[in-house]
Amino acid sequence: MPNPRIKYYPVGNGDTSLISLEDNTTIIVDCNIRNCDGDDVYDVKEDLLKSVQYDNGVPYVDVFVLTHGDQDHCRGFKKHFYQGGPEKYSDKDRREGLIRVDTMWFSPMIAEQHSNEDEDAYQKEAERRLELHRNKDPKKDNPGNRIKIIGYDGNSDYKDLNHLRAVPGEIVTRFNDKDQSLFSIFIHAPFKEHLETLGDDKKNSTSIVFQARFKNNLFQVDFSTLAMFGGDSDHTSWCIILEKTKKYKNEHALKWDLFLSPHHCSWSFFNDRPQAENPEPKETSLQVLEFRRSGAKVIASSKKIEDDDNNPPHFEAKRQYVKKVSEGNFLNIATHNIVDGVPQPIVFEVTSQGIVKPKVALGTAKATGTAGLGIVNSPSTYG
Amino acid sequence: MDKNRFSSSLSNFEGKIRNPELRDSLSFFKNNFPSFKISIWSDSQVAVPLSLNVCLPSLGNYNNIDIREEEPVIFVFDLEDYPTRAPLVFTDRLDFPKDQLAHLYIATNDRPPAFCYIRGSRDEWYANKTIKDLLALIQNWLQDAATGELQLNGKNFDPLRLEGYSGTIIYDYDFFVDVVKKNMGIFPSYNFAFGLFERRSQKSRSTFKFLKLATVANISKVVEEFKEGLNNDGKSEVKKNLHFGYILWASGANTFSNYNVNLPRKWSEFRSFCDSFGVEVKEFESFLCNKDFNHFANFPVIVGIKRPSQLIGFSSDIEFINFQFTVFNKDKGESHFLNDVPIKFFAHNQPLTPGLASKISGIFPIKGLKMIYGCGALGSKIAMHFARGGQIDMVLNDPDSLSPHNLVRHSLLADNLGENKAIALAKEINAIYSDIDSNFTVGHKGFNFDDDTKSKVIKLISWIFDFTASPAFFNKLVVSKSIEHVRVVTSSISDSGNLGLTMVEGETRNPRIDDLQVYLYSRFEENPEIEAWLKREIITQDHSKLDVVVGVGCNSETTVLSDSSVSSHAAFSAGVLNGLLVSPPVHGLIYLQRIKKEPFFKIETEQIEVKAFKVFNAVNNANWEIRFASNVLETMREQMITSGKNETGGVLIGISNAKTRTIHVVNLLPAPLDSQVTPVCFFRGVKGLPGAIRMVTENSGGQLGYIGEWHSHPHGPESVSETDLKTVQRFKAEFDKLRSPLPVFLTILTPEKILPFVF
Repeated sequence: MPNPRIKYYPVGNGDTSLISLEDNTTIIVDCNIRNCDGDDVYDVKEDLLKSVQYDNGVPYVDVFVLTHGDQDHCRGFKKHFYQGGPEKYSDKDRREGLIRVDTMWFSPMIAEQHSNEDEDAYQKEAERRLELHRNKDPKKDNPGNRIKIIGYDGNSDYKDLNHLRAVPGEIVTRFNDKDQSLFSIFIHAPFKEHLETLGDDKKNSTSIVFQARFKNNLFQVDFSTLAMFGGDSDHTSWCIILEKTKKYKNEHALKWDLFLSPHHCSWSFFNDRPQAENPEPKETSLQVLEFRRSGAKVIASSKKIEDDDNNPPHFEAKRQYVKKVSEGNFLNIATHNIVDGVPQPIVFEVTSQGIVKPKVALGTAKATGTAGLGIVNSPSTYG
Repeated sequence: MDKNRFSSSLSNFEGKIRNPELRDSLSFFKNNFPSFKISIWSDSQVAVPLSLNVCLPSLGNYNNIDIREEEPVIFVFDLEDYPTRAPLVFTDRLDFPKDQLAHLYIATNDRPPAFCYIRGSRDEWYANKTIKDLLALIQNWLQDAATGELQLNGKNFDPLRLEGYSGTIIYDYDFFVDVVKKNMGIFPSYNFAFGLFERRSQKSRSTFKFLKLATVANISKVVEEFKEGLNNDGKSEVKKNLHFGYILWASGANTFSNYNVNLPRKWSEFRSFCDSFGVEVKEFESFLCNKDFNHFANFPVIVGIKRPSQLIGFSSDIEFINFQFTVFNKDKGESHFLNDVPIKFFAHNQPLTPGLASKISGIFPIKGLKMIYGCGALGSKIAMHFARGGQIDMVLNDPDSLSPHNLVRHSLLADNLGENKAIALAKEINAIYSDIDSNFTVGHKGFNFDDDTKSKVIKLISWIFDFTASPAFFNKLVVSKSIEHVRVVTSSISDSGNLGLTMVEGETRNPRIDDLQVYLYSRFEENPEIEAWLKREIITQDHSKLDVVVGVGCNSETTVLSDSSVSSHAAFSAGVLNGLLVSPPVHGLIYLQRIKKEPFFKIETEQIEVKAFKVFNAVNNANWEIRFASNVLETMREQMITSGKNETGGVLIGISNAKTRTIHVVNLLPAPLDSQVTPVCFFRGVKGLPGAIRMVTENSGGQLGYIGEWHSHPHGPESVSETDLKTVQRFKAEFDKLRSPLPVFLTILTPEKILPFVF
């Protein structure tokens, strides 16, 4: 069986990450699938269709985790993911490569502030599924109708569906109706305090935050890899996460090998914006970074980080990360691996000794050209 | 010069590279590695030292193994035979952690060890790869070494990779593990055991085969056997070249994950080797000097190393390394060797057992005796397929001897000419498993079915396979009452060798092989292929005989049938039967394999499932058995219900067999249109009936036809009426004059009963 992999897609200032487990289970965390008519944008959708599993020709992800509903975390959901009863998935849907989401992870707290059509679509699909479960519809547990409620309720009351709920402090080991023995997720946020949070950044601070935990065999004492995902969570969230996790003696859930820098390497992880007015990073944020393990890496899923005042990505934020993990372990997706001018995904393979780059794929001596070749798609001139 | 690199000892290559493929590959290196240089490896090989970047795991290397982010390696190319001969790749580090890694070849000629970078043949792998792929593979190898994925396959331990064996030792790995773990040797306090080994052919490279372990219980017998071998004057039929060999192991509980890629070549090195794996040799050395019985200087020594987990490809955590010692009397001191005796390392071969054959064939081993009748072309091949799959508990039966023309399509070869086919085949099968003591397959001359069914053996038999193509034997199987517990299978070839037929009886012999045969004929209506075959058969046979011989009886010089056709049929039958042995079917099954030679040789197969027949004895004569295909009675009953208060009836289609006193009914024709019905009478008409029966007879190649009639008694009586009897008498008068004896068969259907009568 292949080792698990974590893939961070190049999507500019936005997040799209794909976790692939040994049994080919796939978990997508957010999506920012942009229009790739041009040559300078990596075709995330095409890669997703190659990476996910198929059920009778229907592409599907096992779990979709939407950390929060900002456009740069759910762009393309409406266009590229199937919505509606899975039994109605049509040949047309298949031709268009609509990806079925077998299980949605849905946070009621972030659901009430939708401000874009992709978020609307996610919300509507979640409500369709919740209704099936509430009505005890016989189809409610079919792939494509499954849903997991993450965190606490906002204005809507889903207490009757508490059996579908996981709250901060819980460890989830069952994904898409299947128990995983070597993979789990520790949920950090959103927590109850977020309900009282007000202000412009409410949506960001109520992001789902979790630690993805990998093992390679059952006999391992410690984890092979710990990957932290936090959407756009800000320093106040991380302050509470730190406090609560310590309070409940769950420090193990703070450790990380991979840290997807929140809000696309924004200063908001370190302190309030603008940085000029709040130049010092909060001690609690720095403490979070201290939970890194040997060889840990920070991923900046953002545009190229320049030495300017832009935020995100923020140059001083990068400097703070680099201070902790070294320049070589701070990876900006926009610049890390460029092929023909197009940023490529950053992929890590999980081994029992931690993360490594995936092994080099071997070729063959025999070869044929494919339709995708540049020379095929451009005119030739001969003298 | 870097003293830690082996390549620093190599001279620069100043010659010209004439091999164009090698020039291309070297150009690739030159363009990608600034430090590129070519050195001399041997007269026919050049070396290219390079440094490769390795991605190390974030949490540190597995077991802190010293793999570095930059690893120097040496690619070695054959000047003439590249790329047919794949490059070898060596580590260039003299301090490379070779003792911690699997997948390294044993170091030779004081050179560093080479990477074992591919399972199987390097040359075959490289045939479809480029130097770029090999470079990537070596990088991956080093990354795997750092992450521990080279050593660990799941939780299993990868054993040493050895090449350059001087000979082979054959023994059962699991038994030797028992010897080590249970200390089964003769000396409970020692960490070694000894036993008898036979040395095979002196002509080829040395091979020792383990025969038996010396234990307290058998030591005197073992010594006696050994001495008999020594005193053999050559008159004995089988001369055995016997040696005492030793199994040595670590007595402590420690496990060892280190590899030793420098295997010992003399006693002093062996002692260090054993020491590195916790194997004490003091008592062993003393025993060899004082008490070793060996007559010959050469003898096998097998060292068991305790690994931390189960070995990949083996059932236990003990890895055996195999050696041959050469010790002369002049080498032996009081308790130590006087000389540094030479040692060679040998390969281990697992003896071929039926279990191993089953495993590597992917066939589930089935216990239970298989009686095989007929060891001709088809039977011998199917039996051999069973045997090669480890299904060897067979009794083979055949009356014939092997003739020269049999060699065209028989699994036996010329060495067996003149021998009884069954006995010779059993001998060859047992020879396949000569590494096990007992003979499992037995050969008998003749078809002693009657004796077999009377003997106690019959109770041990699970399956009977009829490959005789003999109608007489077929009939014997049909009528036998002693084999109700047995599954009967008949397999034969028909249609000029182009149709393979395998019929498998259902549970409790229903449907029986004769049911299956008749049912197959009845399929002519749905299957044009069957109709065409039956029609061809009748043309092939004498037109006056309406008797298809299913099975061509190919033991004849005049029979035209290729070995490829017989093999194809045999392989299909064996393949089908291997599955059925594991899970015998409830219903009967018929398998057809058709070979079509136009426009090219091709094969089609088909499976037909047959439900149990409804079986009755004739009401008036219990010697006759009536067997209805499952759908026939249902149709009769439906027609009775449709007819309401009136009687109804029709004509039955099937065949009777006077030898087995059996009537098979497979279909019925509806009452002709001019039939008349009343509550007390059924007048069976004739309109269209002769034509319908003629159609059946012609299209079934004469195998099926009119076999009797039925009518209903919706109001009783549950017996033949006087009117019925008068009709019977009229029929009887006509049937008695027929050349083929046809009984008058009448079935009466009442609301409660089915009443077949045979007159």
